[in-house]
Amino acid sequence: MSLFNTSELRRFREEVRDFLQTHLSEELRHETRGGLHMAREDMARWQAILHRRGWGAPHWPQALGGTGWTALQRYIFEEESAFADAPLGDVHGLFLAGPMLIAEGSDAQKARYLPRILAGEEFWCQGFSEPNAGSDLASLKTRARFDGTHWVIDGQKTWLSSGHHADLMFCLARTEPEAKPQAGLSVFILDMRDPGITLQPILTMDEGHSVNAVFFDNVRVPADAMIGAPNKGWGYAKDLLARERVNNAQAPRTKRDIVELDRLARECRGVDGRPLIEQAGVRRKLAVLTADFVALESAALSVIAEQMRGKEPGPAASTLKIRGSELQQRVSETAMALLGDAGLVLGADYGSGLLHPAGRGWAERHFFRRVVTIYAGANEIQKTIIAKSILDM
Amino acid sequence: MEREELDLLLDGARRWFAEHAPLSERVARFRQGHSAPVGSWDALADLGWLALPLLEEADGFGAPAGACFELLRLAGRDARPEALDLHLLLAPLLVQLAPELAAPLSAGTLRLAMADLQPGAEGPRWNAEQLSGRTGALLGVEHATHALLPLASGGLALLELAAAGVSHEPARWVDGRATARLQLDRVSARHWPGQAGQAIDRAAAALVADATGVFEAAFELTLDYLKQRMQFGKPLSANQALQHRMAEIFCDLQQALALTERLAQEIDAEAAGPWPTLPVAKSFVGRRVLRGVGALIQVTGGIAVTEEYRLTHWYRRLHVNAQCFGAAEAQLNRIEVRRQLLAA
Ligand SMILES: Cc1cc2nc3c(=O)[nH]c(=O)nc-3n(C[C@H](O)[C@H](O)[C@H](O)COP(=O)(O)OP(=O)(O)OC[C@H]3O[C@@H](n4cnc5c(N)ncnc54)[C@H](O)[C@@H]3O)c2cc1C
Repeated sequence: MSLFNTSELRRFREEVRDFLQTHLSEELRHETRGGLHMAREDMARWQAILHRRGWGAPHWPQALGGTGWTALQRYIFEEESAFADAPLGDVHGLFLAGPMLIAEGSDAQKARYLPRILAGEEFWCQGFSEPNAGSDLASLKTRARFDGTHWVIDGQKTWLSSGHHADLMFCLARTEPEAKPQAGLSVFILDMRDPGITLQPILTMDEGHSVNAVFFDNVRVPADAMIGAPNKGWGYAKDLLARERVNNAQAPRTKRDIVELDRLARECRGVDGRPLIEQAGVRRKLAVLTADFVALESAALSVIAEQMRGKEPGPAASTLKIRGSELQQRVSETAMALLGDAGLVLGADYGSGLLHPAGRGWAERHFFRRVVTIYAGANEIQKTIIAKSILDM
Repeated sequence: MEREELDLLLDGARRWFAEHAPLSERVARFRQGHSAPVGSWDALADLGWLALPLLEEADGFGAPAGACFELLRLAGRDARPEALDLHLLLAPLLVQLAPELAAPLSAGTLRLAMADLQPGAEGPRWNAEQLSGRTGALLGVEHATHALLPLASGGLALLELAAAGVSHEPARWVDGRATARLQLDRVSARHWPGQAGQAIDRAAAALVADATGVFEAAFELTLDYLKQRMQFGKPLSANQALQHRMAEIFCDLQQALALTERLAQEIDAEAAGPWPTLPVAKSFVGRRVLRGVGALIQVTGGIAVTEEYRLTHWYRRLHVNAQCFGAAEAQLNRIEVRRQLLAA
């Protein structure tokens, strides 16, 4: 892509690549490539290494630990990280809690929380959804009452990704029950060890544990645990969800996956004993995925170009989540088709005799990825946003 | 077999499935494995189902493939772990090849597992009346006493799982059903030349029927859920976007049912095959049915990707059904458009 092709960016890419080459252990690469839900210590280990280099949170303002890179440099960094199989850090801290604190938090909150996110010392989770408030988030019922000194929180959240790894939660709760649903919400910081918080694991289709239900029973948090102003939580949540959506396009990791598919097609054999890549149908499938990936990448880069011109991301940003998540699913569906019966095994306790070595982790990814079109605002809801707010329908 | 008789049997099957380790119960303890209580093959024999597909001369009911498919759809709806699918479609072939097998098959003492052809054509070889080599992954291994193996030579072999020279590499499919590859070292077996293709297609047909049952049940559960689940102050089913999505999936469901029926008619008309609808129906499972159930998961939302929800298990079972005995791509390659399908 010509956009990348300046000597300065090439040098930058080299620098990132060298760093990854030197600092990313074979063991971490192996875990990242095969694993789906990474262990906290692995993510923390890598985050600490990035932090020591000053690359802990490239997208944050420089004064708070960011790198000062352009959006394009950040994209190159993500791409190189994806191709080196570097773990993703704590996305909830780095991409959600951090930016929300930077935008709305008090100075004391910034000083208390941001450095530990950067260093990989504290992990976060997102407490928005409830059993009866999914797409209709504003109907959430978790209550926070002020008792004169503390906020007292009661209710229930569900779908906390990484809740069992987290030290802290940002939690959306109702502080003004009489107001309109959107008007009476506030955001709180909860310590996961606070008395009255009970976590319950939820197993997902990949048989893994990454999400949790959580119950609040008279959880008392101090007045300064609120982020921003009272009853302004809906606006903060909307900003946060918009950031989450762009992040969820995951273009660089999908590119990495497509390269893996190519490898699978070369290593796996058909009933005739020949590598699958020799079949015209397989080559065509990979070509279609590649073409659709380049289209996605182009849209991601055009958002980046807008950001670099100082503009808010336009309509292309809203399409990224939809197309990016659909492509992720098609990529893993293709991996399953290439692997054949060698892909029909989940994890070690299913017996590894069937598994093709290159197929490690694909069944888990494939089944878990049914969710990428559902979470972070389901695609149907994204389409409604496009139709209403962009197409004025 | 009269329709009335069949309806009675299907009613009985519905009741029996509901009372013996139904899916709703197994889902709750899925991680401990998917197997039904071991005694169930005896029960199936007592119920008479195992004799269903056999001819009356062989003490069977002479049930046509269509009737067997109806029972298999029920088995699919409940994601049964017993390999009824293999039994109902392969028993007639085996009895035709070796009539003395009718008695143990209908008594439930000869219980079949079956392997696919081994990718890479490296499967076991029949040499000097013995089999050696590594088999493909077996379906139906939970209760099996015997393995039926299609060979790359076109032959079909039947061997005892406990025979000397057989070692097992056990594993589990993504849907929890047990599987295994066998390593065979000069194992005695029975062997019939030229029967591999028909055996594979019979197994594939059985999986089509099972998949159709899965699809039906997944559709019904989802439709019901969309009418119950409230968001934005109204049921999800009130949203036109979801109505259209469900209508599209419904079109696929109708086609899947129709293909299954047509396939049964072809099998009944020409027991030895080939059945032109088979590659169409089997590839339909790997393309449209799999995608259809994926879409049902999507419209259901987060709950549908959890271990506690039945859609998860149906979806995973469909992957096995879609993959075994000819996945979509391989089946599509077999479709001879003009000569067979579009012929007047
Ligand atoms: C694995 C996983 C991880 C998650 N992680 C987190 C997390 O960390 N923190 C958090 O707060 N939440 C998290 N979520 C929750 C996620 O954001 C919700 O699942 C999502 O918002 C959808 O809500 P729902 O599941 O209740 O589905 P529902 O809202 O019940 O929707 C079901 C289906 O109906 C569609 N639909 C709903 N309303 C309409 C409409 N008006 N028009 C058309 N279609 C409609 C939806 O698009 C969806 O397809 C996670 C979910 C999962 C499954």
